[in-house]
Amino acid sequence: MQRLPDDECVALYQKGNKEAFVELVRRYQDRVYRYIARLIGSREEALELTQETLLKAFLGLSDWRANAPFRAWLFQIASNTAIDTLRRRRIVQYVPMDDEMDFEDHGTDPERNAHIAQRLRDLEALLARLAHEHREILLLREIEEMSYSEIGEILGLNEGTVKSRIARARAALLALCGTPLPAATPASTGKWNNQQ
Amino acid sequence: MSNDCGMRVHLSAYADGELAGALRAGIEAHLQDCPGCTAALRELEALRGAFRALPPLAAGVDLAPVLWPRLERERAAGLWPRAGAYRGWRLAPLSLAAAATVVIGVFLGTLLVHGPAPVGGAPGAAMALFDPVPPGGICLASRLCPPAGKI
Repeated sequence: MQRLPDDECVALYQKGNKEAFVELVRRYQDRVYRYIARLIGSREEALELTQETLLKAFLGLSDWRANAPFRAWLFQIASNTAIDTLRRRRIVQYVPMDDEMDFEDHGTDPERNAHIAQRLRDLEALLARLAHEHREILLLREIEEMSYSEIGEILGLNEGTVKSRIARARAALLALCGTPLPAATPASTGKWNNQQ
Repeated sequence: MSNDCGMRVHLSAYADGELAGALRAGIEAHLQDCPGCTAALRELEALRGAFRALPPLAAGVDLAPVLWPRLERERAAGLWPRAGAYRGWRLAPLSLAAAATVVIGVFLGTLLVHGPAPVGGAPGAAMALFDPVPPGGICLASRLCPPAGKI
């Protein structure tokens, strides 16, 4: 069972195979848990939401058709479950429009690079300060190592938007790392390219 | 982020291995000569390294034995179908609605073809409502007004 790809496990589960269910849960429970825990910033709540996500997924699997990878579908449910929780808490923070924020350029500065390296050690804390959309997309890319097309399926975005949003999210995170930032150099006053 | 010649989005996609063809080759050529973009790329790599160094989080319990009884309970409550169960019955309301629509359509069509004669008045009297001159009106142009009862 452990060697079976997801879609075959799903097909077995749909026929009522309990072992396939157990395998799929064991394959994904920690990944869903860590994704939700970092999205909502609470490990205790994450465990309950992970169960809720898996329950919704497996109850809905009776109707699921293999037109999307199981993993993308599962993370889509996880994302929606997390955002519902954050909305209930009313602490979700949105990025205005679609990533239309600009961040300054700061040239090549060894001191700043050292500062960034130092701050990146507090990555968990920095992630918590990011806007929800940025945190979500970075977790899918950097932790879950998903492709742009898979992230697009999960978040309902086209690949061009995924590409620009990831770049924006990274810039936002680096901006948080770099605070307080040194003054911009004359050579680095240009705007970043927002085109996809 | 370092000075990146306005190529931040492309550099980010390049770092992810999501650029191909001429665009990828162009970025690689540019990186050979641009210390700003090279530094920006290093920052992105540092960011990736930091993510990879995050402590692994785990649920800490095997959720399968917890979830299976919950699944069974939910299904027993009848809100969700059992995996592998025949679900054709779920189409029953749709099928009934379609059948009813066909029956009503056939019935109405039959009425149009073999429908009962209008109660009272000459045949077609009901259509007199659509005459150029409404019932009881005065016909000012006789060529436009058919004789009564000829519609």
